[in-house]
Amino acid sequence: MAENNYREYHPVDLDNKQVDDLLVTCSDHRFQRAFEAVAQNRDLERADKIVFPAPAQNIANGVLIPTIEKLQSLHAFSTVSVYDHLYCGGTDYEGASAEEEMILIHQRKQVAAINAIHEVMPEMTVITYVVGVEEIVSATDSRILSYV
Amino acid sequence: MYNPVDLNKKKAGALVIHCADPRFQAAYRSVTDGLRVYHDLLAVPGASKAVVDNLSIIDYIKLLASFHHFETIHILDHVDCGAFGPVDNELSEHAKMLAEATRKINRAMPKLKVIPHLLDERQELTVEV
Repeated sequence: MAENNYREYHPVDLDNKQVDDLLVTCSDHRFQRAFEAVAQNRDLERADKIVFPAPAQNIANGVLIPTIEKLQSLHAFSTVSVYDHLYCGGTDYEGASAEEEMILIHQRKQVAAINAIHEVMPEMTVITYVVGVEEIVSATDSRILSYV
Repeated sequence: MYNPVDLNKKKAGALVIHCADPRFQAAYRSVTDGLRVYHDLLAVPGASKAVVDNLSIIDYIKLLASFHHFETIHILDHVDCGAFGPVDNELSEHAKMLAEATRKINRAMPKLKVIPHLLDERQELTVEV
């Protein structure tokens, strides 16, 4: 195989395929560092990773469900974490502009996402966050399904 | 908890498309850090194969481009990819898929520059498309 002088990195362990978690976050470049910080605080540095616009909305409407099912069959994770963020261009805010209204809409979409995942993977633990400009503004855990 | 997000920084330097595979996340991060641009990100199984096979992914790329006005897309494939399955020649198979993904993007968004990458266990490889 041809090689060049591009960047080298710590060698990848190709046999280490199993993970406990799938992390689903948004594509928006402005929030990538915030998503990383939240994930690091929850020891989610090694996880399957889907990054896609408006993650909860696109799980709830079924767009990402086949991808999640495929990855689960390959890597056998037991927890899905979904990070939305405020001021998301891909999320349908139904005309809302106040942060409190946006949070409520994200919460509704995240509960719908949990239900969509549980339709095909009933035992899956699903944890969701809404990431704000400076801090997490909402969290949901399918094991207790309550907001904080 | 984290550095405040600058909501006014709308323009992204690039879009990066890479695979979901947990084994290569650190390698992807190493390569994308080297790009030295704030970038939108799409992480989907197969990267170039997802662009070729997924009928709706172009619409999502257009959506992101309309929001964040990037002019370059980096597609990062990796060897031993479950979405590709077993292949006889990693370099040629990925080169073909990266070329097809580039053509598909350029048909939809002719002004965008697409840069292909292929990562093996230790380093990025040269891939001609």
